[in-house]
Amino acid sequence: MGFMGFQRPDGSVGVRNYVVVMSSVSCANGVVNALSRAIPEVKPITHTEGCGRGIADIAISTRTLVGLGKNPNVAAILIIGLGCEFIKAPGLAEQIKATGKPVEYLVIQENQGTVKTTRNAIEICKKFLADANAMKRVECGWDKLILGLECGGSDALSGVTANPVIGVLADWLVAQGGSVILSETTEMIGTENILARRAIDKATGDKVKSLIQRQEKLTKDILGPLAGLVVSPGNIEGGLSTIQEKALGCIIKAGTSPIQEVVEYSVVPSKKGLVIMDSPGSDIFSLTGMAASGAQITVFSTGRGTPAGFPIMPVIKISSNTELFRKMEDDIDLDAGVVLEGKRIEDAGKDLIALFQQVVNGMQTRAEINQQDVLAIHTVGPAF
Amino acid sequence: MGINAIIIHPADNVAVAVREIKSGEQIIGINHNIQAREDIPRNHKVALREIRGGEKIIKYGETIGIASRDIQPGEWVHTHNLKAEDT
Repeated sequence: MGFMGFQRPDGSVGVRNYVVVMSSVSCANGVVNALSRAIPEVKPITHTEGCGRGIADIAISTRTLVGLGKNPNVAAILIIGLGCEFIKAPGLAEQIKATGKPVEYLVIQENQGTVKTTRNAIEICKKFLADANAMKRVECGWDKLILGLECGGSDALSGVTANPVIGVLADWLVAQGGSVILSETTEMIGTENILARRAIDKATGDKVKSLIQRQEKLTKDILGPLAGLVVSPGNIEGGLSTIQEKALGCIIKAGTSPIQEVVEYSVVPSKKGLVIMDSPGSDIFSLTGMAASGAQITVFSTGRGTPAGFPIMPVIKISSNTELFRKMEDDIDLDAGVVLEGKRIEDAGKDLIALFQQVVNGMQTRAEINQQDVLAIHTVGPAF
Repeated sequence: MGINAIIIHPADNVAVAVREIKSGEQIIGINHNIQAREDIPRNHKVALREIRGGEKIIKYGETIGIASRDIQPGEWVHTHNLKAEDT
């Protein structure tokens, strides 16, 4: 028994069925926003990239925007470009078209400005919406799913309650043939040997090690004396004795299955099962990278509380403690604080699996109800 | 009455106190019949069995550090008796 999803022409399966309008460059965001005011059913994607960056960032932004367009939750996409930018709308459209889904683009400088471009965009989106609304969910296998994992606004209990509970779900999905993405390389510092041992082969293990070592060096370079915050005095007062202990509390959310592959930010995995994706620890960059890597859904643990969701991917929020669950009940979908009352981690994990299945089949998460659509593309260099 | 400590992985030799545990209190919620030998702060670790100096401290089923001296069941485990493993 699988789940009910939206079958795409390339064989992938969406758990949502969005018509998206996305800018190729920040200069086009105004038209995207105008369109979304005119047709609220369309999902707008705006961002700050697309021009004025170095070669490395152009590559990251391009594959992120293409990845978002290719995400199986997207039924059809219209790209709005300006015309003179570095990352051009026709190029993005061409790459996304490889999925076989409907893709169109409009260039503001070729469509006589904001008003006329918006008018043309409205016509295209009306057609996209009519076609998307006629699509029906069909039964699909769990192997079609990629689950993203995230923790943010963590507290001392995140690694004791919420993350081990998420680990139960991760192991369950991998056992069904599905995939799980563990990101946030910064959070893995100190566990390179532990994670390398869990890799499927030596080459993959070496990649895990070099990825984490690269991030450790980068963290020291950019944070200087503040790099110690990765294991701070606050962590030690909170009961964490070593960086390994802190990092294990984070990576436990990926469960216990072997690491099949290591991919760069926003790269779609070629293997099923547990995959590590390089990303910063900062939540929104990480969510964007996982969505661009093809994740249709994310589970997100929090101890302090964060409302963040994502425009084209449902995000299930799980609290590490009941006090937070009560305080921010509008933002949290499930409370792992029940583990502190004696509920077994495995049993709380079963509750999460049941909730996960409901959300995959269409039930809205708190972040979706609250329209907590946030997105940020990771960059590595300065703007010019 | 609720539990006061949880074990995350069956292989662990430490549990996590989910509230402050006073010296002499029973560790509740796990399959070990032990008493706290000293006060264990909330969210800190307590040894479930005797751990010799040089032995691994296991949490999440993985090594989080090495015992820097002998540790008795019911003892608080933290930076005073646990050192980072050489990597």
